[in-house]
Amino acid sequence: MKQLHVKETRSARQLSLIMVLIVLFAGLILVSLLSLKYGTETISLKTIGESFTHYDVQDKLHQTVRYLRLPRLLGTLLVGALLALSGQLMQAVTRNPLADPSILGVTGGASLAVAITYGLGFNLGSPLRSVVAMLGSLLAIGLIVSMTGSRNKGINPIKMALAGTAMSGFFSSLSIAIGLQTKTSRNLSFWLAGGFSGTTFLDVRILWTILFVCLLVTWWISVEINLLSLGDEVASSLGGSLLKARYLGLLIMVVATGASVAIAGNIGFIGLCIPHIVRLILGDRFQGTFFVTCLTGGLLLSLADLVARTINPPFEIPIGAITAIIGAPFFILLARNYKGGR
Amino acid sequence: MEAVKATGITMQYEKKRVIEDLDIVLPLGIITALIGPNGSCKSTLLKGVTRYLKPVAGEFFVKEKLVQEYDPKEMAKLVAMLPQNPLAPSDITVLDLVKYGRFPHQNTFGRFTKEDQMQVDWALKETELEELKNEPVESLSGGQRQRVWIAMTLAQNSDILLLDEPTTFLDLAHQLDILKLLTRLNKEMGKTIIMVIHDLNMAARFADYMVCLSDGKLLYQGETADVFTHEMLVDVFQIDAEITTDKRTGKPMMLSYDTM
Repeated sequence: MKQLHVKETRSARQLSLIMVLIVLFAGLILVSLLSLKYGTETISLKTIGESFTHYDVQDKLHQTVRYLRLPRLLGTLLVGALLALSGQLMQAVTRNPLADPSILGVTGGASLAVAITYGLGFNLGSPLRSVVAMLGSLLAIGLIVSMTGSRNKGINPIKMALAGTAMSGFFSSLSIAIGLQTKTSRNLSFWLAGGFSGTTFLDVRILWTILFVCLLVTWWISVEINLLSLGDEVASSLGGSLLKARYLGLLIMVVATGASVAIAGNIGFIGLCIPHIVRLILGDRFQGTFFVTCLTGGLLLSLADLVARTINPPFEIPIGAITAIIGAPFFILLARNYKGGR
Repeated sequence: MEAVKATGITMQYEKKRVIEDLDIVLPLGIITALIGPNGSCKSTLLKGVTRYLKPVAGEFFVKEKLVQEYDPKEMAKLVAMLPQNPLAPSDITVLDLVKYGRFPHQNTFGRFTKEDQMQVDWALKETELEELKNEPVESLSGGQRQRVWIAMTLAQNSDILLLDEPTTFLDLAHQLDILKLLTRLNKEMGKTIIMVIHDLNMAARFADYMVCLSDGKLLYQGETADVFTHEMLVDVFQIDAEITTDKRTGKPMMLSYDTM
């Protein structure tokens, strides 16, 4: 009887993972089709199919599908995945359920670095801009760690969250100041609001490469990231290399956030909400769930982009506004229910 | 051979020195109780042994080897540490938590072998948790939860167990259960038990060896019968007590005590 019970719970968990994956893939296919179909112009599914099978260079609609909507769709999927992964890593590493690249100032650091290049009169292409944004987020996380890390214990989670929030505000005021001072605020604020209208296949290639590398490293350290949930003392007495898990985790986050910001601007709350949604469905463990987190992040951001451009055509609502409308109440709800401790 | 040796240890929190130039030897193969008033740095000492806190001066040795010369996982195979009030992740089950104990024995990707499974089953059996293994840890009582953490350190299968107040917040019967389990592990499997414990009668009953710290200084150490005296209680705890022998166990115990 007892043996039976064990088998039931185990298979129930596996079933729920398979179910979640089926639902996610179905959702991805649906949102992808809708994203290719709707926009300023509605394109029939038949034309969409033809644009892939018999691409006609002369056909405006084929061009729209292949060179505007497809890279845009892929961009939203990849950036959603990167931001969600960043958020989950950040929450696991700082053991703070309110952590998110935008709340801890990492997005802010990346934006500031890009704002400085705008201010200096450079208009960098996306590969260089990604590097600049990564340096910015590395600097931001480095500042926060050096401000809050005590010699004996590594990074103190609570202090870090507080410092990050302050830094985030500081960075964004600096970015605005640079924009105003150098009269680039219009370009800058447009880019900061975030968006995928100009996403190219080059951007997609950058994002895809970075996501691949990030997933590989995440997989490598996932057991130790998982161990962090037991608290530093237990984790270290089990022989976990806390510093390796922490610093590599933060590094992945720096790279993922930097690339996302460089290509899509400031999109908040994806990194906060998605890991919580996944945790609600699959339970509180890192190992084995980060892949689902990426899929969910991609799905929801592409859905947000679909809403952003179909709600009031031909005008687009900034996608950062859509994610904030959903994300801000979510954050308040989480903060209200946060009991402290870890 | 000694389980743990510390020479010339100085430790500090922020800028405040809490332990200064401490030498201590904890023997292998027996149960040692670390006793002393609050703030006497018993926990700090254990954290130093496990390398969670670094001393500013001095060296810790485990089985005659410098602690910093061990690889983290090698160290974890030798020494298991149960801190005060560990907190479990919110919805973890008993089985999943106990499985974490196998971490030092696994490779990078955490493949769970037959031997891992056997060790986990054994740990659950020893702590009488088999019936509860699929329950969330959150839903258990304080005593059961403490048994789960002990099961995790058992699954770790290390020779030396460091426990920081394993019986605090438990009722008398559960305290006895835990301490008898530790005694059995010591007698049957030769595990070295080193525990911080506040209940002095429990310490006197279950420990073979006693180490008294006060203010980061070593005041007494030795066989329980030699250390557990009227003089020590006055000196370390400012407690005036009558020491007798427990008729049931033959161990020393204190009676009709009061502050001085």
